[in-house]
Amino acid sequence: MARRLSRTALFGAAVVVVYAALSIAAPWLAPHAPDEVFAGGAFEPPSGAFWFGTDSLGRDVLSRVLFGGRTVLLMAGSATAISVAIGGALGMLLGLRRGLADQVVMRLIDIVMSVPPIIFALLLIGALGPSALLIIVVVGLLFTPNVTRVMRAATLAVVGEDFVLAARARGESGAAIVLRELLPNVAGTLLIEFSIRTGFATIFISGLGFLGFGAPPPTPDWGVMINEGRSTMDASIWPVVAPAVCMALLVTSLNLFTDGVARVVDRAAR
Amino acid sequence: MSADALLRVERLSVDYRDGAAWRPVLRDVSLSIRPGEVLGLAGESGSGKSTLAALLLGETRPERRIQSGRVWFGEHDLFGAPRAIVQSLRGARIGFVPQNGSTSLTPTMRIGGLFSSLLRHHRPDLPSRDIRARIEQLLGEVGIPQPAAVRQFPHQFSGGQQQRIALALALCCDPDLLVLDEPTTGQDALIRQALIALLLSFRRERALAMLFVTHDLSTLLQICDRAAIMYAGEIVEVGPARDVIERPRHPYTRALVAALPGLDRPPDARAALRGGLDWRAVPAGCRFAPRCPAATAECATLRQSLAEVAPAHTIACWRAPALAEAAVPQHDRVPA
Amino acid sequence: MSRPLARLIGTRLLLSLLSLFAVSVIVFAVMEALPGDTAQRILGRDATAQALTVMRAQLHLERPAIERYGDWLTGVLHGDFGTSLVARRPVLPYITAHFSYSLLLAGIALALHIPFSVGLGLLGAATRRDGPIDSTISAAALLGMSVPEFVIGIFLVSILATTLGWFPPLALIDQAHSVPAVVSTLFLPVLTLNFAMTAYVLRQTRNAMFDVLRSDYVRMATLRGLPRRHVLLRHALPNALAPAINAIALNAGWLVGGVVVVEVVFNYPGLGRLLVESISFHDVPMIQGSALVLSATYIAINLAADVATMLLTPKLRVR
Repeated sequence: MARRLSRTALFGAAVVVVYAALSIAAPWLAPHAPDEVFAGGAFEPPSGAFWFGTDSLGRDVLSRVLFGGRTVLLMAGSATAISVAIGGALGMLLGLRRGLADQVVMRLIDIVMSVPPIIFALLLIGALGPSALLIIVVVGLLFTPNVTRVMRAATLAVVGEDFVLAARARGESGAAIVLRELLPNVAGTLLIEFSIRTGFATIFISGLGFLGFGAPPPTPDWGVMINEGRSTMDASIWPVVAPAVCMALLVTSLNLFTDGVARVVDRAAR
Repeated sequence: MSADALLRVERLSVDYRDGAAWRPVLRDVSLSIRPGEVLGLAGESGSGKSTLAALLLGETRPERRIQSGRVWFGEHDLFGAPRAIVQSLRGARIGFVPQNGSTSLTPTMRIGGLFSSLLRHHRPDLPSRDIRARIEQLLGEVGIPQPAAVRQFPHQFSGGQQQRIALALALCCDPDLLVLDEPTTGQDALIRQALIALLLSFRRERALAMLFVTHDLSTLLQICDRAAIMYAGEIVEVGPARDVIERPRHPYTRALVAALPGLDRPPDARAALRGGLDWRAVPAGCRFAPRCPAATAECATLRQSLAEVAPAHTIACWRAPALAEAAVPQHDRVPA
Repeated sequence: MSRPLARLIGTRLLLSLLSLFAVSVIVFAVMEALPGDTAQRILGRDATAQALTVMRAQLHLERPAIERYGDWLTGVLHGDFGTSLVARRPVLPYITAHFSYSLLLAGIALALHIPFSVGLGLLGAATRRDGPIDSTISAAALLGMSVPEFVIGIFLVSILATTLGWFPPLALIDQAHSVPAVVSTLFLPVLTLNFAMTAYVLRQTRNAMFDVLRSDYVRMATLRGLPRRHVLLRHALPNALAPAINAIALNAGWLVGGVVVVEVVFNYPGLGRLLVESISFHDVPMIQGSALVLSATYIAINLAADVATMLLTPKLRVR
């Protein structure tokens, strides 16, 4: 498939890969520890020692951005993985089985989706206290219904009555049908969902961080950084600009990649 | 080409964009249709017949280009005249019936609205009352139940009905020529017969000329005066429909006819063609050579062109005279 | 209205009511009925014993959760949302006041973005695909969708308010008493919200329009001799609108969440900001009331959107 992706899509994918690499290598790449305070060095302008200067507490912005990116990718990636795994499996199963269970589950999903996601997240995190694990689980669960719907629709589009009947006639079990016959056909949609949800998750989790519901300190978080730095932008813009630009770049690249994959999948379906 | 032809295609060569390259889809195609005449155009998938049909309406697409040749409707050059002229011909003088009637109807418009917008555009002189009457009459002729139909949406009709509505739309402004792109393909036998009966009656009453594109030779025989057989973008045989189908001369036509199931015998598997049309393996000479049971080494290099073998009957095969005297096709062991 | 349509709408309405009920349960349960020590959970680990006792008394935690839920729900249905633990005053007036400000902000943002985004989407589709105009519009839309609204808001404030001084950095609308003042106060928050919303609808409209322009029926309309403008307006546009309207409806729902973030950025006295503040103050009745009203709004918007889609789809309107 890589051959059929447009240049912009490949560029997006490349950027995401670079991000992932930087995140993994952050502990070795970052010049300083993210919470190391440099006495007397608040709001230092960018220099050789501090590429993006320092923030209000005298911490190196670059290191915080690198480690923050690690946190973001880890949390957004895990949350997305949860939602795609559960939602994908559930959606495909519902699309195959249909019948009463399908109706009931879809109605349940409709009801669950009646709570605006941010409200639900704020409530839960406010009630249980912020922790990285909680955020990952909450966001993962919040995205699952949507993924379920999309995968179910994709499954329905691929599967006809005869499809399942034929496979059953060959003596295949439900799991075998899913893995061997269905998965290759909906793989494109699955990939699109993964890519686009990661972008949404990044924005959502950063938003939580911004509102003060992110992973608790000292974990560096882009949303938290932006919130901390916004009232002192006249002293230095870098504590806000650096994470903001990184976030924008990451999500834009994810969206470019998603667009490219969507076009390929779309053309294949014609 | 007779001077009183309604439609004339003159040595039309058209390319189609395939990725970065252009490949030929029509090569040196010539045909003509006289007023009131029904010409059948037959060939397998990929022969270029649908492309030719669309070109008869002067349709331009970015992925298609005309290498050479012209299409004349009356005295208008469909690809040289101003767009406004071509637009005025479409619908009013040349009608088009697509292969898939269902998808050709705008989902958000009521049937009546579809007709009236056409009529108002092409016949602005007609008063509303006449427009309504004409719509009712047309829908009645194609067998769509009145008067509820005008207010209904396309999706409320069956596939067969949608095809008939598309036919009625093509006829509503009284065109001189009707281009039908495989109108009966994919329909079951009963619907197909009903459609053919309809077309025959229209033809009688309105002296309508038609280009009937199909891959089904038996249908062609029922409705067409003349038949043209296409292979790989070229016309290989043209002549009176009866002649072409009952006494085919070109090896390809013979194979097509041999593959027809007769009521008393199954299709002749031995006369079936090998493989399918492979555009990359088409030689510079006779394009049919790779699959032709009667091909010789020279066939691949000799350019073929239409030559008359009988009155008004031309074929593009230099070996035709030799073949006519050679062994007769297996299924027809009747002495000449 | 036809019978099947009425039945469809009725079912949808029922589902919404059910959802509303479920939401009330969720909102209450999350705050007051999760396993474990509720008071401890709400006040955090370093709460003093005295604070815990006070909270337990205020929330009547000695009574079973079902009873407390019943009381709360009954109160809500009668317009009594309880008493704020922080302000010691009834919760409802706070909610009403803040909600009306949120409605104002969201309403204006939603209304303004519709013509703008649909227009841009159509413009992009009318020009050549991936041509210069289309590409620029698409790129801008991509950016608008990729940058979170709080980042956009902060930068708008930084550039247009703090640096250039054209607009106030804080949207203190309760202190704006003239129309120009209101406009000036609302401008940046509305603009911020519009960035994300416009981007989304624009892309949907453009994609839908391209699909429609390639459809068989548009091709046939042209081959039947109809003039281009008529084909675009009567045959293409109505079929591209459905996805666009769907996108707008999704935006309306998104606003319920988006407004929370934007209100915090601009310190706008809306219901979103109230919710966030009351969570940090552990003001349970206020939290529950705000969350319930916001969720009810979300449900209502989704209901309206679904019904509108049903009404606009010919396939569902008849037969």
